[in-house]
Amino acid sequence: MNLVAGLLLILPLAMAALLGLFGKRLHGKTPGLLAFGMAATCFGLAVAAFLHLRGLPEEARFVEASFWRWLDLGSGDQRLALDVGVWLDPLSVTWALFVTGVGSLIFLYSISYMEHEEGAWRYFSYLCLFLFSMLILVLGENLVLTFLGWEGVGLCSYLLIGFDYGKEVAARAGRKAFVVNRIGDVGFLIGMFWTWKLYGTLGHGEMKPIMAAVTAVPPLLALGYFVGACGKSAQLPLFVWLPDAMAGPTPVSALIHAATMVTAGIYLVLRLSPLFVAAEWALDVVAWTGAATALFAGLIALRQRDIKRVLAYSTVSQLGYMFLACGLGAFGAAAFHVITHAFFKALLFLGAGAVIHALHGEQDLWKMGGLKHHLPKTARAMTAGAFALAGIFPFAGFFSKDEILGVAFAQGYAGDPSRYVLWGMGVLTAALTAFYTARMMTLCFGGTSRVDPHLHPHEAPAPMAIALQVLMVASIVGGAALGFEALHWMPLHHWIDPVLAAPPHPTHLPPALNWGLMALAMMIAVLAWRIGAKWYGGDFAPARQAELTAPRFAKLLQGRFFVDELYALLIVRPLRFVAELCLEFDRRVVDGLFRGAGSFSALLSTTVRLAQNGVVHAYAFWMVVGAVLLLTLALA
Amino acid sequence: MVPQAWYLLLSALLFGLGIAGFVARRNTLVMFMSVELMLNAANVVFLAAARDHVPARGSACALFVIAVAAAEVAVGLALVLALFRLRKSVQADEVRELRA
Amino acid sequence: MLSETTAFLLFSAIALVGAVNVVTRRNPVHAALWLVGAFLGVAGLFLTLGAGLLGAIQVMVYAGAIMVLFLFVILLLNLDTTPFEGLSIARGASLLATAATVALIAFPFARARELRAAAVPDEPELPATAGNIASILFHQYALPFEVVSLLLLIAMVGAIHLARRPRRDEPT
Repeated sequence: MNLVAGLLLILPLAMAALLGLFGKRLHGKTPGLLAFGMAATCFGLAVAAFLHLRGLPEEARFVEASFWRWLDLGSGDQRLALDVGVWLDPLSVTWALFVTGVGSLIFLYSISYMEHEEGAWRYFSYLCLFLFSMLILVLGENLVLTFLGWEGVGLCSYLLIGFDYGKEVAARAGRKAFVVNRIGDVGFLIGMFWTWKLYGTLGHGEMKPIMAAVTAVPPLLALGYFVGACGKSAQLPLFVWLPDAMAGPTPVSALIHAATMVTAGIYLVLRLSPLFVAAEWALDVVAWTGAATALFAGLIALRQRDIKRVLAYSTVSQLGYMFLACGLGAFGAAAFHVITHAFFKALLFLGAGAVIHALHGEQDLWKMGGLKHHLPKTARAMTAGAFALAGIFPFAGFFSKDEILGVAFAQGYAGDPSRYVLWGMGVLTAALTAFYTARMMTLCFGGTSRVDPHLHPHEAPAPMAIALQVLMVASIVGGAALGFEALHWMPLHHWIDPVLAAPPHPTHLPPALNWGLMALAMMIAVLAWRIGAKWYGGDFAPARQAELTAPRFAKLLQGRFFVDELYALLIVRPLRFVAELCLEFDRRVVDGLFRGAGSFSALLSTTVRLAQNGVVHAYAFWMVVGAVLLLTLALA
Repeated sequence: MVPQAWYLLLSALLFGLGIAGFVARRNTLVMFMSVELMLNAANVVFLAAARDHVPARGSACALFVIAVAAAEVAVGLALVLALFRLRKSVQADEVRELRA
Repeated sequence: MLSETTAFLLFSAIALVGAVNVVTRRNPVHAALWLVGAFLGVAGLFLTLGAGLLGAIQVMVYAGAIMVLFLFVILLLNLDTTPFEGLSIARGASLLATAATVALIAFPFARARELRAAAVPDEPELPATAGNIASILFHQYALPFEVVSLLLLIAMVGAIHLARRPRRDEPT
């Protein structure tokens, strides 16, 4: 198992180095094929690790493999000894499985997508580095290694968003993602420092018994981690970077900004779930943040014209669901939604990528339409993903989303009325989701074509199509295969729940009520979908007119609640002002001092220079004067 | 015995004439001659000061001075030659190459 | 036989007259010839100081070799009488500084009748014979002696390099 785990980390790193150093000499599809081969191998290794763990008895399902001593600081109580190693348990292996699995498909997709791009080798090198960082993040033996991966994925995200660094938008978006993530990282670091101070260790293996026994945790400690999770997983108020991150290539959006990296925050919360449960009100903060983010992003997604932005906001919204689940204590449900979301959101992004590819870079939904005739396969695959996102039975999203809503309702039913509010927000978000998904699909594929007549959209090449097909299947059956709570068919929960904290609140409803809610949610979703499809399905002109002459609230949505503008006003502008003050200080005072010193000595030397007139006799004369002075001194 | 002070006064006068020649004359050759005068004045001091004690040591020091003077003259005259080749003149005031 | 004092006064006069003329003659050839006189006067002073060897070397090296070098260069350059150089303020100041130096050097000498021999009181007196000088040079002053020989070599090389006619392609 050590070998498998080691290879899982070494292969992506080696490939990243190989492509980064020598990739420039490879042409055409070679870098992509190499990277895809590596990713597929990693998936195989992850499966091997999974099978190995499954063969173990439930309470012994972990493998700790240390490779070498990394840090050994301090001594006694203050000692911090960390190994570079791997911690395999159902949680980390689950993440590794879908990261490498979905990752492989996106690598495959990228082969064609990036074939004609300049610098595809760079792209694949970063992608391999990302895979490595993500695997370190989930498999790392201690929190510091997790943090290393955390920073690594942040770096790769920055590099890949800014892949097209010649474009100002991309470079700016990369910087924004990087900076906003740093804010979250501070929270993560504070959490780590505090954890070490309280428990004296950061290793997952050593923390396992500690966390199992812990009863009270400072809520701020847990919230430190949660701030980190908010940064990485784009929750309020740190979500602003994710929509801008769509400036990166579309497969990157699919892999990093939808399926894998942004779920790192969920992973962190799940990994430390006992701490969160023991931290009094911290879980409530998580729940409300998640629900608010879900609703907020869902509202914004209603009126976005850029297809990738719609998907980006839906990602933020779905991540909100996952945090809602975490906050409710339904950690297993959160993991479930992470996985189904990885399937259908990757599918949707890759489908959007195929559309954009077919339209030579057009991302504006208003300039699409009627594409189902040109791209029938893509349309079919994306429809499956859209149904999954909208939560329509029997597509994947339905099961995970419904489970989360069910838990919220169950807790309300058990006597906590505030949970009904959370449930209501979730249901409202679900309706919004169905509506904007229908809008997006209809604007893209339905109705009449508004495509630039010079373009001749064509179906994506084979590797892209294969990836789409596989993800389509996963989006259809992935939910039902992994769990259906109402029927007590919960293989994922059986697998992963033992390593998660037990829910602090009731999560089960009476069956009748459960089925009823399910039917209600289903009805709402279908209804919202129908409305969306009808609204945008017919003649486009009135719909466009409606969007253009929108009332004030809709304007707010179109402007994405002007969060960016608010940040610019409250944070960026003051900071810029201070920076400019500093600049002025530097220019006037600091530089002035140096320039003054320079010109003073120049003045001085200009004066002294006059003595150097080149006349030998003058030198001789002054020499004599000097001798006279010296003699006078000697005799005095 | 002639008092040492007389020798030393004479040496001072010779040295002063040397300085005067070096500072006042413009002809580089004469300037070098003045330097020779100053070196000779120094030799007189060496020998006069050593007369009543270790005369041999005074002579040895004077010998060193003569050697240095010989070296100085050789290089100095070579410089004069080079200067003349460059300027067709040996007047020191016509050369201001060292001006800053 | 001249008395020592007479000899001293005579040679001093020769040396001073020679030196004054060296500084004042406008024709460099004349200056050089007067310099020979000054050197000879100094050589005589060496004799009165009991340093016969040094007197001989003075005559041979200075009055002989160095002077020939000067004259050789003067003739090589075919120099005329330099024009009258005028008495500028700078020159006046220079001469004043010179006088000050002389005064400052002479003042303590004149005051101290005999130099104190505090430095080496009990060293045996060594007459300035060639043997004694050689003994000091090669024992006590062996290192400076070698250094001086190196200096002469360097001066020779430098003089040859400076005086060499530059090749046509070489910047002067």
